[in-house]
Amino acid sequence: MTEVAQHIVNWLALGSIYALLALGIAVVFSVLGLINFAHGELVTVSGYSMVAFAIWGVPWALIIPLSVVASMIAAVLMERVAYRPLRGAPVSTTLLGSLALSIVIQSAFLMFVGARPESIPFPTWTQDTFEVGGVVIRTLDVLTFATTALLLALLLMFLRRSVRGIALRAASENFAVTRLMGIRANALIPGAFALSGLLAGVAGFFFLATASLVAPGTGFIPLLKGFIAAVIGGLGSLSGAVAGGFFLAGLETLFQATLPDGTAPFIDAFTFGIVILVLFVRPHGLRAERAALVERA
Amino acid sequence: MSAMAGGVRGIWSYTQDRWYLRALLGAALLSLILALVIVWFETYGTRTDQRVALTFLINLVAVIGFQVFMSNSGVPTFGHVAFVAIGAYTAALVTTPTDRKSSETLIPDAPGFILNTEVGFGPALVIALAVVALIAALSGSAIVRLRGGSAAIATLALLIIVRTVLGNWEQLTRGPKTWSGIPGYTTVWLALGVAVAAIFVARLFRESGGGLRLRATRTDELASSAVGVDISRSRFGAWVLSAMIAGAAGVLWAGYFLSLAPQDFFFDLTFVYIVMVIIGGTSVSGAVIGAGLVTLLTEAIRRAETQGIHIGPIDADQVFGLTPIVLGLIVLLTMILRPEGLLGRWELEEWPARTLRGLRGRRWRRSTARPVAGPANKPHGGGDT
Amino acid sequence: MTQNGSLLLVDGVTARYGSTIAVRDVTLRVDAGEVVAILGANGAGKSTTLKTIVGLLRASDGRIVFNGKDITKLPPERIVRRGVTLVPEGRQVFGGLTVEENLRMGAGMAPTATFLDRRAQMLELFPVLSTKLDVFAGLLSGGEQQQLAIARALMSDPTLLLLDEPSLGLAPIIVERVFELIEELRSRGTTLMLAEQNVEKALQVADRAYVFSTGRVELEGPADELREHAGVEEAYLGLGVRDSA
Repeated sequence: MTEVAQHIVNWLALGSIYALLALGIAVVFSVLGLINFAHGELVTVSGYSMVAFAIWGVPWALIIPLSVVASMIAAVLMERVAYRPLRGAPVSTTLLGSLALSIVIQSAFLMFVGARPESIPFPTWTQDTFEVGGVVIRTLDVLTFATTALLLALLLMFLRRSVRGIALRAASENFAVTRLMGIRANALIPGAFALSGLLAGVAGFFFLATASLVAPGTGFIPLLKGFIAAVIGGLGSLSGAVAGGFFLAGLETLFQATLPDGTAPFIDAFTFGIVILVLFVRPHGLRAERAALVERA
Repeated sequence: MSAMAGGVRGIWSYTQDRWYLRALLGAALLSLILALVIVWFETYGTRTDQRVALTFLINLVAVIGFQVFMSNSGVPTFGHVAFVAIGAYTAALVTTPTDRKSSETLIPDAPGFILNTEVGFGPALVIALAVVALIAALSGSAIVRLRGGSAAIATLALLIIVRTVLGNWEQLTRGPKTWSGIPGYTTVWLALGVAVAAIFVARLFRESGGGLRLRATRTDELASSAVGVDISRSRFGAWVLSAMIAGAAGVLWAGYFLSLAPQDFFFDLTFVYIVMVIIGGTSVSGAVIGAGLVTLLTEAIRRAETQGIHIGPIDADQVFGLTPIVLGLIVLLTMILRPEGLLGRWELEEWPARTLRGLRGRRWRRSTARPVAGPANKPHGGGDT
Repeated sequence: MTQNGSLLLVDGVTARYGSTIAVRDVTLRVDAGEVVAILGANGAGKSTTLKTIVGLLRASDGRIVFNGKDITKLPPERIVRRGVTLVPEGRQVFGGLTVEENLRMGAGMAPTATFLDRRAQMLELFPVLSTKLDVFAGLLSGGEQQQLAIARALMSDPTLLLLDEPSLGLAPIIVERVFELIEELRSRGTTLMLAEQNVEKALQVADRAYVFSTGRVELEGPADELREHAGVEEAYLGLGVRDSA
C-alpha cells in the first residue's frame, strides 16, 4: 500500500513538471501555431543562470525568481530574433527554423561555457524528506505539485478574467479578427513568449533540483517530454497540455512500477509506443472534441 | 540550322512528355555530374579529400531517403535516421565474422542463426533492406494515417523507440556499447553506385503517378483527396521506399566506419540530414546540392578550426561547437530568406527552361474587362435622385 | 473635414492578393448617417474593398480618408480605434470564448466601466444574447452568431460600421431580423456600409449603392434608381454594362 502511495506522489510531482513544460509549449503554439523547439533551452538558461547567481553569492530566495526572469527574457529574445522574421511562413519552415534555433543555443553554450556539466548548488531543503504513514515523501515533490497547482490557478484566472488573457485566447483563435477589436495583437505575442518563459523557468527549477547538474544539452529531455505531453493533450489546447503532462508521467510511473526489472531500460520505448498509439486513435490528441468545437465556429 | 534546333526541341519535348524519360534523363544528368566530381576527387584529391568524398556519398544516400519522403509528402520526418541505424546494425550483424561475433567482445549470447551468418555486401544489402522494409511497413501503417503535426511527432517517436531498443538490446547489439570489427566492404565506387541507384529511384518516384499524387497532397490535402488521392496510401509507398534508401545508406555506413554505436544515429545526425535536405530545395537535385554544400561547409569549418581561430573566449572545445552553430544559423537564415531552398521545387535540368521563359519576357494577357467611363455610368431617364 | 464633407472617402484604391489584383481603381464615398451598399457577384471585390478600408489588406494604390484623416497605411487596430470597424464575412465570432468574452473583446482595451455601459446597450439591442452570456460562442446558431458579431463590433462604438455579407448562410427569417437590425442602427445614427449579394434586401435598406464587377466599380447611384436599372443584373451575370438608351 505504501508503495502505491509512493508512486502516486512520484506521479504527481513528475506530472506537474511535465504539465508546466507542456503548457509552455502549448501557449506559444496556440497563439502562433509554431512549436518552439528551443523551449528546452529555456530550462538550460535558467540552470546556468542559477549557477551564475550562486557564484555571485546571491541568496537562494532571490536566485529562484531571478532564474525564472532569465528564462522569460530568453524567451522574449527568441521571439524577437528568430520567430518574428519567420512570421507567416509555412509550418515546415518554422519547424526547421525552430529546430535550428535550438541547436544554435545549445552550441553557443557548448562554445562559451563548455561541455562539462556544471553543478547547481541547490539549498539543502531540496533534499529533505518527511514521513507520513510509512511513506517517505520529498519536500521537493510536495512543493512541485503545490506550486504547479497555484500557478495553474493563477493562469486560469488570468486567461478568464483579465482582458489581456482573454485577448490571448482570442488571438490564438483568430489573429486577424482580434486586431479588428482594436487590440494590438502583435504585442500579445512577446507576452505569450514571456509566459512560456515563466512556465519553463518554474518547471526548470523543479526539474533541475533532482539531478543538480546543467550542461548544454540539458534542455533536450524537458523539450521532449513537454512536447510529447502537449501533443498527446492536443496541440494548442492548454487544458490538454496539463492533462497530457499528467498522462505521460502516469505512463512512465506505471511502467517503472510494473514492468519487470530487465525491461527497465526500455521504458522510453514503451512510452513512445503508446504515444504513437494515442495519436493513431486520436490524431488531434486527447482533447479532440474541444478542438473540433473551436473549428466549427 | 533551325531545322536542327527544331529537331532538338522536338526530341526534348518528346522526352519531357514522358515521365519515365524525364526521370531517367534527369537522373542520368545528376549522376554524371556526381560521378565526375567523385572521379576528380579520386584522381587529384588528397586522402582526406577522398575520405570526405566517401562520407559525402554515404550521407547523400541517406539524404535522398529523407528527400523521397519529406519533399514529396511535405511531412517533415525525424525518424529516417532510425532506418539508417537499422540498416547499419543489420549489415553489421550479418557481415561481421562469426568468430568475432561469438567472442566476448561482441555478442556471444546471440541466437545461433545470427552468429553463424557471415555474408558479403550484396546479400547483406538485401537482408538489411528487407528488415528495414518490414519495420517501415509496420511503423508506416500507423504514421501515414496521421495528419498535420502529429505525423512529424510520430516519426520523432519512432526515432526514439529505435534508439532505445538498439541501445538496450544487449544480446543483439551490445546495447550502448560500441560494436566494432565490421569488415570494410564499402569502397568509393560501391558508394557511388548505390548513390546513383538512389538518385534514379528517387527521380523515377518523383515523376511517377504515385509521386505526383503524393506531391498533390503536399500542396493541398483537402483538394487532393477530393480528386480521389488516397493520402495514406500515397504516403505509405513513399515511407517504405524512402526507408529502404536510408537503410541502404546504413549498410554503406557500417562497411565504412567499421564500428557502430546507437548514439551515432540520433538527433545530431538527424539535424545534419535535415539541413542538407532543405538547403538545396525539395527536388532530388536539391538534395544532392544541399548535401554537397553542407559537406563542403563542414569541411571548411573543420579546416579553419585546425588552423586555429582564436577569438576571445573560444577554446579548444570549439571543434564540436562551431559546426552546429554555423549549420543552425544557416538553416535559420535559409528559412527566413529563402525557405524553399536553393533550387526550390525544381530539378537541375528544369532551371534552364525556367530562366529562358523569364528572359524571353512575360506577356501579360490584357484583361477583357470593358472600359469604364469614369467611376460609374449614371442611369438615364427621369426620376429624382 | 474632407472635401465634400464625406465621412469616408475611398479614392482610386487598388488592392492585391499576392500578385493578383483584387480590386482596381475603386472610388467611393460614404456620408455621415448614410447606409451605402456594395453589390456584386461572388469574387467581385466587395469583401476586398471592406477589408482594405479597415486595414486588413494593404492598398497598393490610392488613398482612404476617414473623418478628414488619411488612414490608408494604418494597421487595423488603429483604424478601429478611430471609429471604423468591420463585421467580417462569415461572422467569425471567437468560438472558444463566451458571448460575454466576445463582447469584452469588442470593447478592446477599454476600461471595465465603459465595457459594462456599452454591454448594457447591446443587450438591449440584442435581447437574445442576454440569456446566453456564458455560452461559448461556437455553440450559438448562425443567426445568434451574426447578432453577436454585430454586437461585438458595436462595442467599439464605431462611427462607421462595415458589414461583410451579413445575410450569408442565414435562413430567410433570420435575414429579415438582420436587416431590421440594420435599419434600427441607422435610425440610431450609425453610418453603415454593407457588402451584400442579396441585392433586393440591400437596396431596400440602403440610400446609395455601388455595383462591383471583376474588381471595379461598374455602377453607382441612389438605391431606388439602381433598383430599376437593368445594368445591375448585367453586372451580376457579367454580360457587360449596357448604356440605357
